Amino acid sequence: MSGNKLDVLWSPIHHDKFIVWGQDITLYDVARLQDIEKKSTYTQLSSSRGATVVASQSASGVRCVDISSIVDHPDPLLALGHASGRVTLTSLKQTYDPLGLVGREFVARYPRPCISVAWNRTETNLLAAGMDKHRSDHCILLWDVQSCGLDEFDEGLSHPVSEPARPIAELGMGETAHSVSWCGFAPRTLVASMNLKHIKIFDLRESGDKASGTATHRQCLGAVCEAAGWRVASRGDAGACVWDARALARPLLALPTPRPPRRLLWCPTRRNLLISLQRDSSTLRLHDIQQVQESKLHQSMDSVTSAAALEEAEAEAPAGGALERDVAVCGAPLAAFACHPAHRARLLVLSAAGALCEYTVAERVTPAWGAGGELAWAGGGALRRMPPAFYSHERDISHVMRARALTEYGLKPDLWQNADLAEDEALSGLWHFLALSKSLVEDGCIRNSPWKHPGVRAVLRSPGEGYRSEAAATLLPDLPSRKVTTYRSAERTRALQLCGWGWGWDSAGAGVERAEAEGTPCRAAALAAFHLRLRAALDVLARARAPALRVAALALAPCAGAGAADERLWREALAAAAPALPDPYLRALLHFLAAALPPSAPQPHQPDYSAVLNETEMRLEDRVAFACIYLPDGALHEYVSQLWSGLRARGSLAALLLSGVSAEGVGALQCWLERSGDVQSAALLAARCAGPELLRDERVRGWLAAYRALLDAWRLWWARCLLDTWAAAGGGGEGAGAGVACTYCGKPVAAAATARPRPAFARLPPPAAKMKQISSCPNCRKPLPRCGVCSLHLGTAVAGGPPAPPAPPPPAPALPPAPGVAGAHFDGWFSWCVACRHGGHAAHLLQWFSEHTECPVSSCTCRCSALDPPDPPPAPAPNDPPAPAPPALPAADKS
Amino acid sequence: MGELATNNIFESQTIVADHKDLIHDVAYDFYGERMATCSSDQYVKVWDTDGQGGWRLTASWKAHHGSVWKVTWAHPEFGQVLATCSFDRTAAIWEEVGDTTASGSEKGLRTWVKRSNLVDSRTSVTDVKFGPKHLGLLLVTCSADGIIRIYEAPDVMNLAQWTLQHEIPTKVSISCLSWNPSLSRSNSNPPMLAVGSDEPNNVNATGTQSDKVANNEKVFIYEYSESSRRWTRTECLSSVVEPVNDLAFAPNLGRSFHLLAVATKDVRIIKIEPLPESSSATNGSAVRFKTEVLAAFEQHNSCVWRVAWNVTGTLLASSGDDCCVRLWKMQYMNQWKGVAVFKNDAASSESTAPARAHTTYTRLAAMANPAHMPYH
Repeated sequence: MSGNKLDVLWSPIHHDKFIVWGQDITLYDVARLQDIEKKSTYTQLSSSRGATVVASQSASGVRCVDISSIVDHPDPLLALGHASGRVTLTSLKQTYDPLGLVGREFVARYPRPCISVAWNRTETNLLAAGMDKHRSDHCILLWDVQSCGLDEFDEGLSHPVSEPARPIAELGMGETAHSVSWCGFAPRTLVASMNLKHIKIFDLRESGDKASGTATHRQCLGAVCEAAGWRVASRGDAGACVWDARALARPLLALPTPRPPRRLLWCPTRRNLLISLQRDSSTLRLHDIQQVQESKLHQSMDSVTSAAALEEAEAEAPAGGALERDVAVCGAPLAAFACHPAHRARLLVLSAAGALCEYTVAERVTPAWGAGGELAWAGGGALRRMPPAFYSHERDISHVMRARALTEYGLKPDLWQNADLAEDEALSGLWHFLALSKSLVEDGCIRNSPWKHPGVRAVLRSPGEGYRSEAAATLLPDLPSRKVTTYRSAERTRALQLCGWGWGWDSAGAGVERAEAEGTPCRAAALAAFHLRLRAALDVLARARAPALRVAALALAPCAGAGAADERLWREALAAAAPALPDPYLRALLHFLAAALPPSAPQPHQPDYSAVLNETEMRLEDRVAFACIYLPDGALHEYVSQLWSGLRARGSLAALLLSGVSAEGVGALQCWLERSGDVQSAALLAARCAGPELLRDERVRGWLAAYRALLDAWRLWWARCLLDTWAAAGGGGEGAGAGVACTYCGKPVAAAATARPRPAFARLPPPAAKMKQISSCPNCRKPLPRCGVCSLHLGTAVAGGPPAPPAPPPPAPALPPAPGVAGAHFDGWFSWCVACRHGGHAAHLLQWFSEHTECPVSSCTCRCSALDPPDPPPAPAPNDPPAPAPPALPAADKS
Repeated sequence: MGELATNNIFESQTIVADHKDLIHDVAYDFYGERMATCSSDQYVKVWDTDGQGGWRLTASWKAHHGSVWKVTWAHPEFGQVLATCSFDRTAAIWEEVGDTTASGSEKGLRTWVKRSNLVDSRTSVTDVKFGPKHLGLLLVTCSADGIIRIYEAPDVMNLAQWTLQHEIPTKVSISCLSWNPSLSRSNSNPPMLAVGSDEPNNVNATGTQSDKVANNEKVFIYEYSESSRRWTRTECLSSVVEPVNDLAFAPNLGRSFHLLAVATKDVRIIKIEPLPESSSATNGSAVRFKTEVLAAFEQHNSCVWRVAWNVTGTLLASSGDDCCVRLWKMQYMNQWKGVAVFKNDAASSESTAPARAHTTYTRLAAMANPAHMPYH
């Protein structure tokens, strides 16, 4: 440290002032960059702060510096230790000096270099100085700067040094003090490094100059004590040591460093953090001191095993360690650093070249996500949370799915009802398609399909399978002279129906009107034109609200008007204008007309519809339907296959139009799921639309399980239950929930009352009115257990409450009773404690446990109601075991 | 634009955690309604939502004799159970119980009791995680000396009894681990663990020989083989060679592959795709996975501390040396992008600077100019 004497010190009380001590001692003032006047020169410390020079003075002969913590002083008051043994107080800036301390001087009896000075931080008037060795003088001197100068203070500041102040204490006769520093654990206690081999702790409250603690160690230089604690750190040639001031016999920890540390500081704002700077290093090393607290007191309270562990732990002393990491501050070799006295983890670093830099030590910040999408992180001693507004900026699928789940998305009885809830065009289109395909299958339009929701590919068989479409030249109703080749077959008809077009103008006309009503006149016009009704197309465009579309109708007019010689002109204009049209349907319409109406006389030719088919902004169903009308078998098959592989590779949801909900559709859904993360729609589609065979698919089961877990985590059990119901109805029935079996014969009690089959809700208990009063096992006629409170058998009505028909515990623990519906019967339900297995009528038990914690069965001391954590409200009730074995955990429950 | 707005709003959402030292871990329970924090001050605290978006401290106790590194919740199926691990070489299982001595109005008071103390480690236990629910009540710990221990509670009603099922030595210091949360129980998805090592790279070993380079791999995948009843290392991710501070598997929402986020020098997102049985059979048993680094973000300066996935595995939060929490989102297939930055801003920490130590003696001088009276 004394080599080139470059050091930096924060003022302990002025949070925006620090000094740099080199050739000169310079006082800096820190301010935010925008607060510094433009003209003044400043040193930039960080991106937001700069420092301006306030004052400077020569530092010749100065061996050590410390800044006092006297609060009343407007500017940092410095104590300078000189090579001559003098200690002077100075304020670099000539300002108001309320205490009259500036300029005071303290002199050792014999001149020798003063190596270290230290102001006490709490008793701010105490100043300690460590001196070099002198055989007949003490090496540590203490002054009380205020009481010494009291007399002169009243008379004015004329002769502050007229009479040399006498030290209030002198320590270490004939020794050398390399560093002195005040301890944080007790007032008026000093720790000093002495004679290159000792660390000594002096308690000034004791009389005499004997050290209250001494340690002899190689790493004994620069001893510093942590601000509030017993630990002392010291450094040496081979590293640093941490000591416990109460037990200096041996170091708590040795922290070896590759190079000798030059400076060692405890972080003032964080416990356990020791910062060291090694010689010629460009990094600071942070030592996070970890200690196992001595815990002999706890030993007796812990179990036997842990006591054994502690014995082991003590055998392996020292029980402590440090997590070390190096932080590079500014790339250049560092000369000194200082911790800001109050701001968390703020350091000021001085490089060997004299550059100043501010640095903030980044503490480990731990983020964590909650199931509902909350993000919390811990940093800087506080927990912080992400504002919910984040999701309005960034629509993440987790948030979208939760919002949808709250609207019972996917669970509505009719498939098309879910379309609007999706609030997503592709998804709502898919739900509409599924509703359509379902109705087609149910109406018998599509038969022989292995799937409940076939797709176009399933309906259109490949030409190799021996079907041929019939090509027909169709007249254009509005252009009698023209003919267009169309193809038709039963398969194509079904495919068209799947696309929502239907065959012929009768069914297509409705589609046109619908498209117009939806506010897409271009699509309506294109649909009409694809069905060769040019007049209808023109009418639609003419009715359009946007004037641009009415203008577009102009382009159609010439061809409708049985073009003559100027047709070529029109065709060229069309080729130029079509790409500029904003709407894909308008473009497709014009391309179609250009391709379908050959310029020359009608002759057998194959028009080139690729411009229409490649208009990818058109809806997929329209493109496919168009292909189904105008493409011959081979080309159609090829087109559909090509579309399928393209969509499949992109993970597009539209691929399901081609595949339907089938084995390959599951593959397409999987691709889409991996792309979008929307497991909700995948699981719901599977639960609603997949048959038993598909529901056994491992991927589908994975979706369902994942979505169930999500709904559980969101506490949307009702939605989860409906999902299970749909999946069970779809044939992928998983085991029901818990049931009650007879103790004696082992048969389920509830199953005897055969409820009428209700497909969608098979897992619900039969309506209570249909249930017989059963107080004994329907199979073996042995009595059912008794209620612990009223001593009546299970199955009898609850006395005192409304005469609720007793329902044996139905196998629906997964089903939260809807308020007002099942509540009426719930009183009579049987419930039991999972620990002692005593039980009773739910109403009785609730009443009992509102006043008691113990089981109502006498001689049972089970604290049933205290077994469960507080939040889930229903207190579990004890009961005789209704089943010999505890009922199997419901597979569908919480899965 | 969005980032600025979110930063501003977030100011009001700070909770003073009142831990006396660095908070090492924050964990939400399964429902996101409770939160546990642990700290170097050896305390664990439990927070419950008050329903209006705030948090209420409901329990705070001294859990260990050293820094508590991690805290984790068990699935609620097993009760309200926490596991913690600490520098004091132990991991502990905590269960919330009613105060059995209280009755009547005090019935609501709850305490956490230590059900078990796992003392097998000889060094600091660096991470603890409960296994996926379908495997039963499993707990895995790892320690600084590189031993992974898998415990099982054979009786889920008795949390005091944990049997050490497997002990896997790794020979490198392990800092973190993560279960593969895959829900499926089929053969193609055996129980899987990813562990990360924070062993510093030996300078001499790098770059000299290829076999030495192999030692620099920091992330390992372990899988449980039902037939041999052993955990075996089936994969070393060769793409990660810097010390790893944290890693996390994304919740697998029906994906056919696994996503692993690794906090090392950068934030890495690694896709681990199980190869079909047939192809792995042709390659021999060596290759089980195809791994691909989907993203490596270096915005956190030189060091990333933690990574965390949201419930759907579509948002990744990471924290690092730049004092920021950053969010990353999957945009299109395999494309990841930063979507938000939350500064752990210095401004608020300045305003909460602790009051000065009380002075035992100050001399009250006459105050000539009130403006010179600094900082009171």
